[in-house]
Amino acid sequence: MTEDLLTIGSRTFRSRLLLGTGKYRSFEEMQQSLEASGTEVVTVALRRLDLSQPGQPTLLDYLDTERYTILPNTAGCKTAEEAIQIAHLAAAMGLPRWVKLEVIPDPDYLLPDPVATLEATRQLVKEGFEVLPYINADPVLARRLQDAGAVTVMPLGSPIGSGQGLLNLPQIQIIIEQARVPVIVDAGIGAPSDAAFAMELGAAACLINTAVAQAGNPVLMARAMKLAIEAGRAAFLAGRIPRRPQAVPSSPLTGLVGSPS
Amino acid sequence: MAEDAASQVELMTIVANGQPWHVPRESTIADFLGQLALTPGRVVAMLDGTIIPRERFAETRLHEGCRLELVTMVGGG
Repeated sequence: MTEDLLTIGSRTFRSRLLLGTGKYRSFEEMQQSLEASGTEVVTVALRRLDLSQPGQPTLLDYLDTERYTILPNTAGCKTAEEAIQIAHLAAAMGLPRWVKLEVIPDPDYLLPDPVATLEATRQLVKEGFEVLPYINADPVLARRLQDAGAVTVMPLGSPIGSGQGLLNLPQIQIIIEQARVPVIVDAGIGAPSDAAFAMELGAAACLINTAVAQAGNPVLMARAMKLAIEAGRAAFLAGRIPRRPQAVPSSPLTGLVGSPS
Repeated sequence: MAEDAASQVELMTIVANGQPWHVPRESTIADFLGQLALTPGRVVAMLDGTIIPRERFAETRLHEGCRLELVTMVGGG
């Protein structure tokens, strides 16, 4: 069997778990969690440098950029223009010319703006970026983004950090069914069972942050997520049995002991 | 900038990451980072809305009232 690789745009990976670097209790815990997860792609945000505390340890002191491919996000951007600017800043920083595009005007549910996301995708694709848009699970939007040149679509299972699992399941299934690019389930995954389920349904990968970073033991949870994603992917490739309304015995119905015939 | 130095060096006020800072006139972005004792790994700057990559920090001069944004990577999802 040939190796089962994940291709996102021009980049290819073995791991199907993309991991966020936010909300860990310490940089050390983050570092160990990344290690345990087997991830090859980690997301980062761009923010103002803290000028009041020079010499403080930063994320970069703990992130092996030779080992992990950095995926900059545009978290915090409320408009297409802001998101495009962050993509430009990330590129100027020397990061790979790809971006997890988030345009989120709504602070309560952190739901992305579909119109601004499509606008920003078109512009960034024109500029040569590989765009990974974070979207609500809208199959029509997913198709429009693919038409615009997005290298993946990343529907949310449920709101960011909510841990509610795959509430948008039927729409995610339609997106996967119609997709011409890998579909990455991003946001809402709370437990390994959510991640495994997404993968069983044919998601190409999962992007997870809070469920690992805020777990009681993040390092152990990172490993659990890795195993869940591997199990879910294997199950998808293996092909699950159909659901039936009635039971089907697993043991032979003939040759029953003491039967008259 | 210490006050005794201010008597010898002509200062200007810039806004860096939203806060006012007094820096010697003709300072470059690299000078300003040096003044803060910052030697960050991956930093990018935006001067009055224009992105300045790190390679150009040493040649890019600040000016009175300019708005400087110094941006780096932080943990995010």
